[in-house]
Amino acid sequence: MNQTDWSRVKNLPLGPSANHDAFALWAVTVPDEFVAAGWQPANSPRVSDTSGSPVVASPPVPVTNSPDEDALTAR
Amino acid sequence: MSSWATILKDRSAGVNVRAVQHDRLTLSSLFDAESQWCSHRVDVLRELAAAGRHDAADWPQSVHWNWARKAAACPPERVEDFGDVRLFGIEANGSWQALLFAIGFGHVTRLGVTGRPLVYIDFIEIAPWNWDVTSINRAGRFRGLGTQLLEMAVQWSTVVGYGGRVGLHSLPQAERFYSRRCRMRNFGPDADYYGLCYLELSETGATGLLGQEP
Repeated sequence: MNQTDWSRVKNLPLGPSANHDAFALWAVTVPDEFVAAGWQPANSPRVSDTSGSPVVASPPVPVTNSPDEDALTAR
Repeated sequence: MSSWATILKDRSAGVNVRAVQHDRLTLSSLFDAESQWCSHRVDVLRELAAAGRHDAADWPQSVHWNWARKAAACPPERVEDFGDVRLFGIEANGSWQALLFAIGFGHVTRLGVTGRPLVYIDFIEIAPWNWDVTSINRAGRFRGLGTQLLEMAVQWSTVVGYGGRVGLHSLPQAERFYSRRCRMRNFGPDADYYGLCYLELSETGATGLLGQEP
């Protein structure tokens, strides 16, 4: 799905499902117990972790100098 | 934002009450919800401390969560039409009772034919006053929230062409809810996601979930 197609469907109103009334009657019989899913660190997040998503290390970026910088370094 | 009527069970009164499901919240709603919820998180911790439950292992595992922080960390364009995020919630008695932060891009199936897109539930939580905290004999107020939030994620997955497929990483205390109540397949601890168990609902599972009858 390209970005334009996605934008057309992404925020379409959902409305109740066809079977919603029966589903809701069933749902209120189900103990919620505990339903939390996802990860939010209890302490300060790592610098790049703002969304709760796993932190993925970036690959090292090779240092490439411009010819001028190389010339300066060679001095 | 579109919304429709539903019901929740008020456990103390033993009756069903009216509620509203919202399928397109703004980030502002997350700030509002945390404003309502944060003092109740403190209440739970106060009760745990009063009961001598000083070990965090006895605490609800999302007691430290903060939806305002999640909202602040989410660029607004992510919830716009070209973005990847959609926010859902259930409201009753003038308060947010439960919230769901879902992502529609970048996550794929591990169940059945792998690599197909699915709706990933990045965060889902019910209001602190709805928690069952057995260590202090605290019973939640409303019932029917978790399944109805999941229903909305399944509907979104269906509307965008993912067949109802949904995945999430559950906190340990919630694994039973998703595997038993919602019949999601538990893939066990995910070393790439803080060791939380990854669970997934297939198209068939989604059809079964929505087809539940009382």
